[in-house]
Amino acid sequence: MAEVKLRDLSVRFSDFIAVDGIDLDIADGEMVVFLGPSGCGKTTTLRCIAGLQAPTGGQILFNGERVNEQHPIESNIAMVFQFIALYPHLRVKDNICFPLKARGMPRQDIARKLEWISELFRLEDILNRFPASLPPGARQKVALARAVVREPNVLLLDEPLSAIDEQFREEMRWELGHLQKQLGFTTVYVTHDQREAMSLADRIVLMRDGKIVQVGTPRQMYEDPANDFAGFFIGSPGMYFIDISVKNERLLLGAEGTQLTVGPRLLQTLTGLGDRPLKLGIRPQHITLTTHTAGHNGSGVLTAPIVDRYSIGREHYFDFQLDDKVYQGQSQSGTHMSGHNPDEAICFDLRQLRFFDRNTGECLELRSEED
Amino acid sequence: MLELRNISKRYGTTTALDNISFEIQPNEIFVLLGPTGAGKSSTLQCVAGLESVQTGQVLFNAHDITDQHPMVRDMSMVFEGYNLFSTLNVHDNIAFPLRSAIYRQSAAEIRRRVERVARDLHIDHLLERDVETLSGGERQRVAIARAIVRQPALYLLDEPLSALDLKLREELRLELRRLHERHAATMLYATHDYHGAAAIADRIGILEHGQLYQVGTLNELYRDPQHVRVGALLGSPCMAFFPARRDSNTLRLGEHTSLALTELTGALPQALPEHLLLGVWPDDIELSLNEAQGFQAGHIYAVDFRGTDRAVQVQHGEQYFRKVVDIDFPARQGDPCWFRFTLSRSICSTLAAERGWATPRLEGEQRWVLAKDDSISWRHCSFLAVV
Amino acid sequence: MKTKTTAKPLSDRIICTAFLAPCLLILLFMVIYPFFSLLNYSFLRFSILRSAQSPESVGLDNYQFLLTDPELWERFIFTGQFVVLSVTIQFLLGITVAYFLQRDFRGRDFLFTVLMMPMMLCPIVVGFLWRYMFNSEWGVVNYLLTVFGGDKLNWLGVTDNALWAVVIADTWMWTPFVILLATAAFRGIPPALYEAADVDGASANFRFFRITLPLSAPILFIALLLRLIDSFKQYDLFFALTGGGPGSSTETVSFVVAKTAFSYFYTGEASALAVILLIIIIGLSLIFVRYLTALSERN
Repeated sequence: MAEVKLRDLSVRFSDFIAVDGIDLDIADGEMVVFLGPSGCGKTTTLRCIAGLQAPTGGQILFNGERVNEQHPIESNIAMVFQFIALYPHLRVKDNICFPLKARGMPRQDIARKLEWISELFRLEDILNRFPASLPPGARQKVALARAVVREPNVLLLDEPLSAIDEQFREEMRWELGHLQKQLGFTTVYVTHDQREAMSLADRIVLMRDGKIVQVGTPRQMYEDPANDFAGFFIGSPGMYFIDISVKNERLLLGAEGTQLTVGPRLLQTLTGLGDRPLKLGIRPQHITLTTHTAGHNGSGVLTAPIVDRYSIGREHYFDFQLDDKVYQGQSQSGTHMSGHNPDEAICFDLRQLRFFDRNTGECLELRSEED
Repeated sequence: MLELRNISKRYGTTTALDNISFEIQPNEIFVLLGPTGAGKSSTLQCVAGLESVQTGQVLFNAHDITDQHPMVRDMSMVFEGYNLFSTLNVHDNIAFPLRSAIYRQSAAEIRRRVERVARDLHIDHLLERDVETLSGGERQRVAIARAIVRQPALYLLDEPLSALDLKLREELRLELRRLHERHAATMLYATHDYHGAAAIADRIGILEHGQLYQVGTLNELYRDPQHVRVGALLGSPCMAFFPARRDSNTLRLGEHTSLALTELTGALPQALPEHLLLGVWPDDIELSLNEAQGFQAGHIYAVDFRGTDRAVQVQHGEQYFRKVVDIDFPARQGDPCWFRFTLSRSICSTLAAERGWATPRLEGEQRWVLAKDDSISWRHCSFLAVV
Repeated sequence: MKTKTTAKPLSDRIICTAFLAPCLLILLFMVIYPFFSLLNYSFLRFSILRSAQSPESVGLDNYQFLLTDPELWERFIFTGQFVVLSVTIQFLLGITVAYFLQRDFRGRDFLFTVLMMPMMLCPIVVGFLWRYMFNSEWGVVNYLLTVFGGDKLNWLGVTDNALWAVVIADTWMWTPFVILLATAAFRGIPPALYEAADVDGASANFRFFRITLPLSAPILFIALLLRLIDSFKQYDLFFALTGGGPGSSTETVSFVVAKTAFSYFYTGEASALAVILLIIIIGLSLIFVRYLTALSERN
């Protein structure tokens, strides 16, 4: 087990900067997920920790010891690759034992380890198969078993589930979450799938253009995005952003200035910001539909044309239009699904409203709790 | 518009498609949902004419096109791997179908159409670029543009988005939906992604092991899943399954525990086989962290944070299920928990003979539906549903 | 175009046949006909010098004569020695060189090109080249031996020495072929596997013997098959270097075939020997084909 520290880590390739000065502390036994769009530098960071890529600046510390120049052999790390790097000429059991044999472990110990890992991963039935004869999901499971079998200091996972079917991916996600908590390895996980990140992470590190955008628990990231990019990237679908302005004691949305009724205190705070251009951010899950126009505590009410109503399973949705854009809202019950009701109104949960600077994208530290 | 009649296809000894029949209505997005190797691509290739059909017919606007050459079937296809021509730039890639012998257009018309479709897909600034220099998302947009520029009668989309980032995928899915509305296009869309299917489909066909298990709108499939695989492929989390045994008039989960199925007790039909598979939508399972009368014991296997809520996996002996719980539900991995089925408020719960679980076929299966009114009546159907 | 072509495309089968036909015809006239003609000759007492004389069918007599001839068995043993020695040395040397060529260093591509050159020479030229170099009086090989304090050797006049001389020449000429194929095989291994092995803690040795070699085995086996067949048929080098001597002690089986056919003009007997050679080579190939099939089934 180990704690990992990154200090001002940078990687420059000849024509661009892949990683641009990253500082991060990963605690012993923690699961940290690097999340970001492709090309944001997350995989390069991981490869630096693995020792497969030499950083051009900064330091990587394992338990306080600098490992920048260390060959991967010396630091006890294990890695699972995106393009499942199993040895095609070896049977599953030999693949799993490979790292143990490479380290010259005695034969009996290897047998014991193999038994332990194959029971843990439920691989008993496929131990004698060749990787090519297995479906991708099972192959990645073998790769994971191979990584875990020698109980590494740090377990590195580079988009391990992206080559797998949706169906099996979900299965593996659960399995991975369970195993990581049970075994307690320090784990660094790289993905572009925010669902995976939210589901698995103790902390998420959101990256863009080689820099860290925000670090936090999944819940912090979801509820308090640092800027509009974090709000958009986390959550499925991402946060909606609507330009706002305050005029005549009224909060107006979009170019056409549709009014959102909010309490006086929030209005006062917003007015206090002067001419700063703002936009609000809200998640579709926090937009609901009610029939009575009065008495919805903590909700801002909006009147806008509803263009579509539909259900997926037992979830009910509606689409409404502001300016020329269509937004989705979620209805708690199916009672509003039947059709137009003159009483109905769209409610924004004011506790979940976030305000962003329209120019910098930064989230403003103001809330609308008691309104 | 398009109709497949009893299509079968074999590669050597393996059966890729086994007696597939379905029909696509005009202006519909029909999604084939199934895991890799289910036969989705084979189906699309049979429709496009890229693969020959061994038995069965493909009908297009009531004409038999089974033996027609792909060139003359007015369809276009988007492939998973984009399949762009690397020797041509973006404009020429998109214009390609308009320059073919059959669909040839004048130069001015080509320019007009390419520009319009490029604008629709937000790639008008890329027209002069080399396709090798594009990102994955941009390439997929070009591939889609090439497919829609000709405005064929039918679009075939084979996992068009699965190689893309999740965020891009969501974005392009919306884009496709919008294109569909604007052009009133008819699409046959193959995917393994339940979320993608749910977001875009008018109707869904559940395909696995070369068999089409059920066709319907998402809600129809939810209300009355007619096969175990339908339950297993739908929903996130999907349907939970428990092997059960009928013991005269009670149902037992596993070998010993008796199941609290009050509605069913005393009403089980004699014809019901002894070994059953009980399928329950997770919403119909009540979960508690405190022991209570009539609940089964299990433990929390893993917890999954989803933003506005959480999902938990509950392990009960060999069996497990997953369920969405409130975001503040204080369950942690390893905690003991208790659960029961609340079939009374269920829309649908299902029972199937165990054979349906062990093998994908339901040959000669007895089927039951229980309609819950005063006079309990039995009908033949593949599952026992409590409505 | 005024004429309208009907939209009835040619069927796939017709197109396939049309494309294959020229190739099949060439194959028929260049391979299949000569093969059957050879088979026919091998059952006849016949010499092309006396083609006017009608050949007499003798059944398996030619084969019986050849297989009971102790001199011929000696030729087989000698050929075997040559094949085993030269192929083993070429593979050890070739794989080692290819291994070091994997690394990126200045001038690697140039070195690679230079290394490939012997392979591109004509075998008979290589033979004469080495014949001069092996000359016991003024050859460069013996000169170098004396420089390093050794004694001059009679390279081509003593049977054992002559065998080694040809092995050396053959190795010089054909090791590049092994280097070429081994390099191709090594480059075909996905780098991700090496990264995985690095992370798994494999040493350079472990990596080479557990990953590089097994994964390049299919290509190396094809190289081995080609080298085995080629050196089994080796004729030109012996012809140029030793002329089969001293005596007839360095004649390979192919050499015997050539001598029987074109010095003694025993066409029937030579044909029978050629058929025997062919059977041996086909047997060898079958072993490899079976191995390759087994490999591809695994994948």
